[in-house]
Amino acid sequence: MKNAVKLYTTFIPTIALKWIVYLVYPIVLLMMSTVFCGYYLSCALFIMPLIYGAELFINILMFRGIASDEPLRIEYLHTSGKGLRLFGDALLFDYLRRFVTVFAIMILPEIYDKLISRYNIASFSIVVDGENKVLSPIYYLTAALLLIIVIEIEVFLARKINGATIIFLISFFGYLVCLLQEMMIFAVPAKRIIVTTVIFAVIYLIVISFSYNNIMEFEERKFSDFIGKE
Amino acid sequence: MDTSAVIEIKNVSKKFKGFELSIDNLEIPEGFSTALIGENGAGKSTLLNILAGIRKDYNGEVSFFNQRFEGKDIRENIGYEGTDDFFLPHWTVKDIETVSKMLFESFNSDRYNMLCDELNITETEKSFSKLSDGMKMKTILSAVFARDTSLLLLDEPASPLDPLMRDKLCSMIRDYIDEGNGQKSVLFSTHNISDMENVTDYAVIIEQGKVVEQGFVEDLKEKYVMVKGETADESGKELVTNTLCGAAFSRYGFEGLCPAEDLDKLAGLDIAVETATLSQICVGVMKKYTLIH
Repeated sequence: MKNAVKLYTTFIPTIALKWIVYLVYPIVLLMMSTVFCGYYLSCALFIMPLIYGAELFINILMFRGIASDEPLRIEYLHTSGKGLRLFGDALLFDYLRRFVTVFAIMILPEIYDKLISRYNIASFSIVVDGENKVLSPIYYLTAALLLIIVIEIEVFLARKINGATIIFLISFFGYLVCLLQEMMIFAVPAKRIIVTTVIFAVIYLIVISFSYNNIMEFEERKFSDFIGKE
Repeated sequence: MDTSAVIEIKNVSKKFKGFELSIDNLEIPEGFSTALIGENGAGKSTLLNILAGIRKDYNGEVSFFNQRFEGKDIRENIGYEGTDDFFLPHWTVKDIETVSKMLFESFNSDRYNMLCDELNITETEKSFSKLSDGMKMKTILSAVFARDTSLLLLDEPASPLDPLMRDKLCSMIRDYIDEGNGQKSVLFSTHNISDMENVTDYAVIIEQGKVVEQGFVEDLKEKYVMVKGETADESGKELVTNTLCGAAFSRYGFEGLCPAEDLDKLAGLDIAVETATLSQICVGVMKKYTLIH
């Protein structure tokens, strides 16, 4: 895995961008999330779209159109028996980095809030079906899962399509989902939230499994007529 | 000359629109430097991509070092230099070293840095895409020669290099083969053999996706001769056209490549016979099969 991380890091063009991807972006958004989350819809309006935009930008920076009809081609990896395996491990690390970053930004501030009891829970509860419902970390977990499912779908599409217009359209769709999802999640009754979380977790695993296998299969056949280039 | 083969190619074929690479039986001799010569679009790069294991959509069989071409162990022993999309565009010389160490066990960082110095690769912080074509090739060659391999596959290595660097490349190839004591081989492609003639032991000429001639250079120089002469009448011209490979006529006479066994057909003409260079042999043979008029 150490070599996979090293290879992954070489996909980031400059040292400054490496610092931004690994440290600055997660820490800044974590701090913003700590300040803003806990206020209803604040996550949806500020934090989720920022995470969403940042991850799409990082993907364009590193893997832009890697499985599209005009893909990023690295012949050198294919000259080694270890190349494809290393590339696959680097891709897995990318999914892991994204998962850890998104969940840390969404969940840690909420747990911190609960630990220090910063907010007056009653003041920030929401009324659903006539009941008062407490904002709970589990709802943020579910929201984070939905967010990352949308991000993974968008990242996969951005890797398969090289057109700026299409990328913009699907990005806009994802942004709308971000705005809507906090309301969607908090509309789920408390007794159904665990099941919803499990379902989203399964969907997430299916999405990344499909994405990974599709990209790897494409990479394996990249230097063939498969993509219509000699 | 009785030699073993470092590469055996059997019934390899690959179809494209309007073109087919089709090689029935080709053996590259071990311990020598072999030139794969052909005009643009002859199929040289496609063949090298197949041999390097990059391109997998072909029919036929390729074996190396008397084994089937399977498994990563074979690729550890093969150094390949490609063109265009070889590295990520933003990789620097340092990034290439980092990646090479991960990909190949025999990659030697000290040797790589020494080669970078020797080849005067000065712009080590610049992105690969921003280097000149010559610098790119020098960087790729440094990465390839920094490994301990038994076979080098080089795709038009001399094309972007200046004359001094081409001479240096020829020295590097010669040193590589000499170090191997008959166990190291080089197969390089070129469309301009005159630049690499002094490092070529064996030549394979490809035209229209097929091998049209092959052999050790000394044998080819015995097989073909360069003929120059004068002829005034049409029957003489017709004889020359039918006998020579790619005869060229001017107001001073004619010249062209002639198979040595057909020299007696020109007995009645006023001709001078010279030893052909490898370049003349390649041009003459290619003219016989080319679609260019």
